[in-house]
Amino acid sequence: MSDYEPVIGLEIHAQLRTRTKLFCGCPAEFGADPNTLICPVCLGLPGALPVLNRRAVEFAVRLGVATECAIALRSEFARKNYFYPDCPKNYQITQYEVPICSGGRVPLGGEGGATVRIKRIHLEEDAGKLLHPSDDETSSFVDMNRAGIPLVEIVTEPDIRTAAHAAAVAQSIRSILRYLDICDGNMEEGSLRCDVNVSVRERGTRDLGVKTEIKNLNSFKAVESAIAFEIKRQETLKRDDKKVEHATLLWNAASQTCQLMRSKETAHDYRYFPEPDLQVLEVSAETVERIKQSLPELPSAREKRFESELGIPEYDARLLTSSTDIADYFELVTRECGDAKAASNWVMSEVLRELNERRIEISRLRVTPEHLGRLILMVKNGAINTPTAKDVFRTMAETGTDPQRIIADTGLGQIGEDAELDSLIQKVLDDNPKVCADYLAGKEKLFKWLLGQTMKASGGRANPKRLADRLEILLEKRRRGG
Amino acid sequence: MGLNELGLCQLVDMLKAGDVSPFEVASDLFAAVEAFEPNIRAYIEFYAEDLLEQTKQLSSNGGYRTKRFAGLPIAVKDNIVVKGKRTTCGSRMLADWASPYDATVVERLRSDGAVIAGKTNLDEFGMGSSTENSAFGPTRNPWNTKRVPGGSSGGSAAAVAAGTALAALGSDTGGSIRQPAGFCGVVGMKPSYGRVSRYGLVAFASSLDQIGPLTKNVKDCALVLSSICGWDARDSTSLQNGVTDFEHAVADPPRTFTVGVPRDLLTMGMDAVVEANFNATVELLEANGAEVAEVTLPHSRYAVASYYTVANAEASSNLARFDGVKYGHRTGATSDLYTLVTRSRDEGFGDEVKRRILLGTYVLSAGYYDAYYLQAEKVRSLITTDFDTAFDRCDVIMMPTSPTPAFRFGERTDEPLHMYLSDVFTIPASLAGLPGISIPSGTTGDGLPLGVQLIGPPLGETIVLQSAAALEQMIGFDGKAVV
Amino acid sequence: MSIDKRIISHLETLARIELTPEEKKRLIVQLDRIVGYVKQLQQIDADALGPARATVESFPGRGALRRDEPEPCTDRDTILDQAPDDEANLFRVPRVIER
Repeated sequence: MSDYEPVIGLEIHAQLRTRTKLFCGCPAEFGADPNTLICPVCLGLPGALPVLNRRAVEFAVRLGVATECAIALRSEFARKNYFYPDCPKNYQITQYEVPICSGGRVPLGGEGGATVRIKRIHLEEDAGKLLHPSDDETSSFVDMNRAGIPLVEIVTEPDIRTAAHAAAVAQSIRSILRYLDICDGNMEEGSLRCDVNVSVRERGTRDLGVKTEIKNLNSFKAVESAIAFEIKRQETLKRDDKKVEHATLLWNAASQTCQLMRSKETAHDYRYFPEPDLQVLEVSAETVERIKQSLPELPSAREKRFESELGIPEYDARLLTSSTDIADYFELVTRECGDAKAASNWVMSEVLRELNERRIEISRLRVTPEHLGRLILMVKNGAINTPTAKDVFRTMAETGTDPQRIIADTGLGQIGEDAELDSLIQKVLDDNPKVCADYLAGKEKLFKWLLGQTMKASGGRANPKRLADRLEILLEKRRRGG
Repeated sequence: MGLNELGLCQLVDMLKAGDVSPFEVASDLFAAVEAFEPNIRAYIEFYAEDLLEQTKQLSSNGGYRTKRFAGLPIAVKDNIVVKGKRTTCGSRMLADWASPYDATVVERLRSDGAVIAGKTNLDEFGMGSSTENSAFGPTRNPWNTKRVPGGSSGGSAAAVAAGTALAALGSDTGGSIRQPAGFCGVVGMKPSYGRVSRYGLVAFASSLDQIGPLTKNVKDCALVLSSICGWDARDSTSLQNGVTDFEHAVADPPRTFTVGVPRDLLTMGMDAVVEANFNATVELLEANGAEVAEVTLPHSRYAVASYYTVANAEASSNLARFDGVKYGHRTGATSDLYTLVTRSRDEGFGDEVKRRILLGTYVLSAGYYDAYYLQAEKVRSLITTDFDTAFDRCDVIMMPTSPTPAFRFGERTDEPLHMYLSDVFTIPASLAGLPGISIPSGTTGDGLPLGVQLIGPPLGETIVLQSAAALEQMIGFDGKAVV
Repeated sequence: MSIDKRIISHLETLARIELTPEEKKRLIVQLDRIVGYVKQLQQIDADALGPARATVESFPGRGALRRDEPEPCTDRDTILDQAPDDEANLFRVPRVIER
């Protein structure tokens, strides 16, 4: 074990899925033609004023309630002043001293379930997009379509100790955003952006070391790799008795290294002050209560219910509840087959494999939960064995057909091999030497009785015509003294 | 006498009666502009062609007669945006910027049948008390062209005084409507904060800015205010309630009312001629049956200090958007972004604007915020509370509008602090968000107009206008600018 | 002395204003005097009430929040026609180098 302990906190920016921007009626859309989704307000034209989007407030409260935050009945917007060409007014409207949510916790702990506290969640506006084309190295370009799109910034306490846990916490936050249907969580498109603060300290001490901030992490893999890289770098510095400098770093996925973006010397003085163009934001206790009541069952609550009511192991429950759709699917399968553990095994192995291979959402999987439930039942009843069931499942995913029909059509449920039928028949004949002898002696009526016995021995899985053929052949063999 | 010399309400009556046409009024106004504007320079742009064409069209059908303004031209200060027209804010920064949208007040004036006559001159971004800080040259006081018209709405005040505007909109942050109204012998009102939408008013200090009318008399002022006031969904700080028909309220003023006089604030210093005029006005009120009560505003002596901290803090942020990237002045070729922004701003802004931006930046910066900005906001609370207490004893509070009459050009330009102190009586109401009106109260021996200010409680526009109308009648001011 | 050369330079950077040496000289004197004047506020015991946050609070009505419904955007050409420099429907600036 290392002598040093990493201390990690996350700052996650999530674009809210409102129809319009935070302070104006321009559509909040991704991928439109540049500078077409702009108006005097989001462009910061002289004289324009912000008016707060009600739904954005509602979304922030939803997230706050879901993460057990205290919701401020009176919160305040502030101006963060800094010059940057993607910032239309050269100040960002954000929340500073009194954010709308504070003091919660991330519902899923991630690895080991260690609790990660949420320090605050606040509302703010996004900036425009800066483009740096490679064919014109003297210019940068600005598209203001993104300027003013509502964001929530989620800041955790520095409760995280490993890179893997940090990535798991980030994933938990994304899953709750999706559960609440307030952010699509697309890291590539930038609707979810993750910054991390990393410091290391000597194990056993409580003081926080000098931290660095890493930006530009556009996947959970990047979150994990960048933190691991940064921990190692800081540990090496400390071991060599060198100081860690306060800095902002950019993760470079290509080289798998962190690069210096700005050092402390150029740290900003943002001159925050209350935004005079907006009033204090009031959210009534009744509104908070109404939102609380309207929330879907949260991943953490569902996970616990899966564990306690359905007897699913913790690991399975967490995986199944990582998406609402998968959890819903699992519950329907369970209802059909009455066996939660089997349903969970099937969903986590076969279903997820199909989704991965086909690169589809579960809503587009052709196997309905009812069909999968029936398939599981057939295995349970011994009508088919598990390898066969997996083959049937693949056909179901391909065609969307009912499992019973697949089995009937293909004979997959029946004993197809003559040798297998033969051994069944031989056993029945050996067990009934008198009947056999009587038949050979001319009591032809006993054929039907023998057929019935062999069918029974096959568990009903033999094709009757084939079975009769084989029985006749084997009896003939015995007649000839075989 | 030209039609342009008549009051707004009087003209509306004549227009509605069909005695004159909007085109005839506009023509007389245009003649006055041609005669006096070269000397006064109240306008940054006068829309002569638009005005004549639009009023000609209006005159051809009688539809205008049903509207509040019946086709009358009204001027607006050039920090209020009009779609497709330049809005310069008196700054080189915006010398060529045309707004793609209309201010709410402009929409309201138009829908009430007014025609926008043009854009009046101002101190750059509203920062000043003399209209000397305009990138397009100063406006002169029509009463004495060696004197300033006051500011920052100096163009609006001078145009109304000179008869080159029938009425005008100004904006008031710390006295920018009332002080020039006083200097130019016209009526000027700053409504309660939130009474009039700020949407389309280029912000100087967002928590203080209000648009208001400058007119020839109190009745006209009520008419214009009735049109522009009221809740606006595009301004989060606009108020959703309140009487909006001030026109009829002034027609029926109360017989008696109590006027509070804050003697403690009046010791801050003023010219003898101002003091004599003010005392005479108090006596006049008493003689006419109004009650006069002594009130105190103990913290208002700190108003100027609080104001210059708060207003400039907000201004430093509001004016950050002018960076030469999206619109406005951009410096000549440079390959460095930082230089592009700093140089564009250095070239685009005048001295006073730079001073205030730097001061505002200082009071907000790390290590100074609590001692300066936050403290100033706390003092602002004390000033507001003093007013609440004072209004327990009176209906309106009266003070001189300014401690001096109009001063000479250049007299205070080298001494910013001296200039700031000329707003000592207007700033307290601004910080408290209260309605205030300045009306002419007499002239000095050498013929400069003087003004008194009446301040009302929150949303007390009705009592302010009513008492101003009553006082106006008592004073019977009949002075006239000698352009 | 509250305002000196060092502070003015810092303020210039924060406010993105580049002063000429003459301007700077003059402004140091003027700003120092103004700061000296506004400093009088610090003698007042003003903690009883807290800052005047949004004057509107002392009035009845309240600004409503906006419904999340799209409104027409401004025509791009109208905006870009007034941009000091643009290309391919984007605002152009000198290459941004992280500072």
